[in-house]
Amino acid sequence: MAILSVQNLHVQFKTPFGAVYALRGIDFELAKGEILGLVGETGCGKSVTGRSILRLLDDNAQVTAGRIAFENSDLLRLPESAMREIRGKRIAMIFQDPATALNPLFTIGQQLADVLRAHAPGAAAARRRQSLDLLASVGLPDPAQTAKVYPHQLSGGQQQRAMIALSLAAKPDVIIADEPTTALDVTIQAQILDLLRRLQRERAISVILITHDLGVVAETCQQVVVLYAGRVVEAGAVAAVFPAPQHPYTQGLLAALPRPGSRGSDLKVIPGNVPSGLERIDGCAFAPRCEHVMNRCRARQPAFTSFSAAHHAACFLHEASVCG
Amino acid sequence: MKGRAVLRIEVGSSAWFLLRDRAALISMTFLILIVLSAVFAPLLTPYASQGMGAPDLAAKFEPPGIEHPFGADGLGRDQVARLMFGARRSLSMGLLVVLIAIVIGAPLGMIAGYIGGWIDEAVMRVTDVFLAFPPLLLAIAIAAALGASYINAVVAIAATWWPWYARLARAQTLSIRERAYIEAARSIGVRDRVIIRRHILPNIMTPIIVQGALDVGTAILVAAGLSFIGLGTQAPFADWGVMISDGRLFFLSGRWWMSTFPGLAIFLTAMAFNFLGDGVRVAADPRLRRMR
Amino acid sequence: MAFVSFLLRRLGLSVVVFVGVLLLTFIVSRIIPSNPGALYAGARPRPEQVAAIEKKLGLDKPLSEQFHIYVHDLLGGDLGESYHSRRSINADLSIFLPATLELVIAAVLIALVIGIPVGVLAGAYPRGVFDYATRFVAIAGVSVPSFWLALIAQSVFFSQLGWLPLGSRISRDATLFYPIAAQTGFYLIDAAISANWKAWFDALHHLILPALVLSAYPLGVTIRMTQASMLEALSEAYVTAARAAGLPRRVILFKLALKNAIMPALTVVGLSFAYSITGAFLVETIFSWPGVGKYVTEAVLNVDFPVIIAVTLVVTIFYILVNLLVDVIQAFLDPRLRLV
Repeated sequence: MAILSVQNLHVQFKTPFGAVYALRGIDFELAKGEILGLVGETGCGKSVTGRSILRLLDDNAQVTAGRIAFENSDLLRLPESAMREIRGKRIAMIFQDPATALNPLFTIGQQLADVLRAHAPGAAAARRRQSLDLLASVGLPDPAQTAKVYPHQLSGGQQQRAMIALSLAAKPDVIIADEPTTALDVTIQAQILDLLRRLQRERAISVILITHDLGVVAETCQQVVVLYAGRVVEAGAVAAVFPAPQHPYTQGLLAALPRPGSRGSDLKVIPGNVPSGLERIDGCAFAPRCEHVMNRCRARQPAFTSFSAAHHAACFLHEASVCG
Repeated sequence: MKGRAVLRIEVGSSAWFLLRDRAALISMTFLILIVLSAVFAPLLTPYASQGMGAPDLAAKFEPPGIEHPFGADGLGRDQVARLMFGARRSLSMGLLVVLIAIVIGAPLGMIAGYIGGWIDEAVMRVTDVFLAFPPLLLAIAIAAALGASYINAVVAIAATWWPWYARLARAQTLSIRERAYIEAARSIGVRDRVIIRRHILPNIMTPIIVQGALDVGTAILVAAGLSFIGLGTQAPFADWGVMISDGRLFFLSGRWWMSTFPGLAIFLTAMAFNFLGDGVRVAADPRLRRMR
Repeated sequence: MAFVSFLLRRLGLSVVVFVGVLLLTFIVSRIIPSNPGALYAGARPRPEQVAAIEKKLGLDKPLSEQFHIYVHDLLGGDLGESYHSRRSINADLSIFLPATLELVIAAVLIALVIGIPVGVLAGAYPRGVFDYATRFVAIAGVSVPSFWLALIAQSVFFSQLGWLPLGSRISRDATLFYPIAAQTGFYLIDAAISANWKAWFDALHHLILPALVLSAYPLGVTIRMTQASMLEALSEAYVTAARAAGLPRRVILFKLALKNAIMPALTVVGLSFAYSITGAFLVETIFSWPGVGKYVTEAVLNVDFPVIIAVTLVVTIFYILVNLLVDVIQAFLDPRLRLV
């Protein structure tokens, strides 16, 4: 059962050179209690999608079409005051670089207290106890001491744990984690992902994990949505997509992934760059970089082909084969 | 090729933003008019000789009217003519101050930033010392030491102004020095002199010249201050600061026009420069652009 | 301790700057003038006067020795003698300096008390009417010639409205009937100490107009810098994070962003001091304010060079101290420096 569903989301940015089309029709559903990976290269629209859900886009961004269904409402049409009730309390967010996402001039305890105060009026003593519980639950040693320190006194991994504690403070149902491990060391990365998995299990939280790293998705997620140039190119259960990727872009991403036993020369890199979004794209956005490109790829958008109930891809290669 | 195209878009969009900024546009127009009136002063006023100081005692203290739209001063000189000829002095003072300061400061900052080490340290400490003085004060002392005159006032202000450009040039140089093509040029043994002339100088001059152009307004303001206390332009010539000073003692006794108009001239000119500067800053910084 | 090492480094820098300031004023007074002896002897000196001065200042000796004498006199607290009034500059400054500092501090306070909140609001609500009005006021403040503004202000508040006095620090009546017992030289403080409230209000009345005029430039600077640092703080990732956590806008603007914005904005305290001093040199004469500004402008007219150099030095030392204090406070407020 879906707790959150994004439907036909279009977002553009106004710039001096004209409109930049960041999202050109995104659809996906987040099932309750699952971790969904949103993947793609830089500039594919992963972060924009995440921020659109909480309506945290910059002033020059504009949602031109779409619906974000959460419970019985459309988040894109809620008044700002109602949105403030959603943020943090129902849907929370974790950011890429905890060093800048934590306020440098307030202690971790003060920052937790601010979030608790915003969502649950209560006594200061109760808030304090809650803060310590939260810090303990994200695996920070000596919560009482941690509450008293400033962000710069923690290590990167500890900062990200504190950030996660902040996002959990108001007991949200959904967490959007925007590249939560990109700024961290590899060993710390694994710990943070473990923590996310554990929290998702224990608290039945649904997570959207935004990442450019398919390895992270393979380890952590149940579902995966692959974005390219503001569109979904392939989506499905990780168990279905990873063994048999159907879209050339997903295949390229997976081929670029280091595997145990593979040597450096085996790794393939997809040549070319993600389109800027300035120009109109009539056909498949991946066509200029695709090794299987055909004439019709440039003329119109391929439709989704289903390979199973839990696996879809938008590519003419399969449209032909399945439809005959 | 690609890099160049991106650059063109950036410069183009900045100019586009500046032109959309109404205040900046009005300011530019105003400044062009002021400069034109200063350059063509002898052609624009029938009282050119009065503009350069000749008295006309018959018109002593004449209030604004048809003959003298801004009135006449204590020696009967037409105030419009005085303002136009004063503009030549005030504007050129501001311009010269900035020019001299850039000529001193930019090479020093560039050398400090390029060579680094103790030379960098020394140059920066010297700028610290100059900037440790409240702005006008050191200029007063230097101007007094040199003797009161138009050109000495310019030199005195420029002597207190160059550290800003030295710092700007240093910062720019440091950021460019790290770029790959400079590293590459150095590694294949291109001489420092060539690197500085070919790569550093052209790249740092644009921001310095832009900053300098926008500083002219403040330089005019400071120069007027020095003239006001008697350390700048000397009689029979006048700049806007001198004119305010000349009219000061008559201001409250009903002869308000002598100080009012030159003061407005300084005010509006400095304001035009500052609005332009604001516009350029916003246009050049995409982050600010989004905020406006 | 990062803070202690910062403190030591900052103090060391101030000492270096102080030595540099001594050297530079020495260069300005002895090397730049073509004939320093004549300059020190005042307007149209007689040859024997020049000779006497040259002997007294050691101008016939090598420069290194001259510098030694120069520094020795200054560190001994002897600023020399005015060649116009023949009075000790130390004695003159002990009267004029408090007058100027009182005026300058008042101007700085006005600039900060009005400028910081206005800048914060303009930064918090960009693109509104308030933002544009503020932009205009700030630019006008840094563009208006203070000496001209002083004349306009006198004409409006004295001649037209009659609300405020024309100039001077205190009225003649007050000096006759409620004289202020001099202690600090700051009239408002001295009058308050002796509970001489009539004189206190009289002094305040005289202070308002010149202080307002002086505050125009620092006010403009304060507004612009505060606004800029507020905009900067609001564009940081922690503000987005705070919004994502559902914190109320009021808390984000006036608690989280403000605290981050206020520290860089503190730099304006030092700048405001500098600009107010600069203004004082130009407008004290207009307001007949018996301070160092009037002292120097009169010295310029009388070609009284020792006074100019002495004031330059003393005021610059005050400015160095103010900047040092501001930097130390700023560093102390920043937990990243205070705690490691």
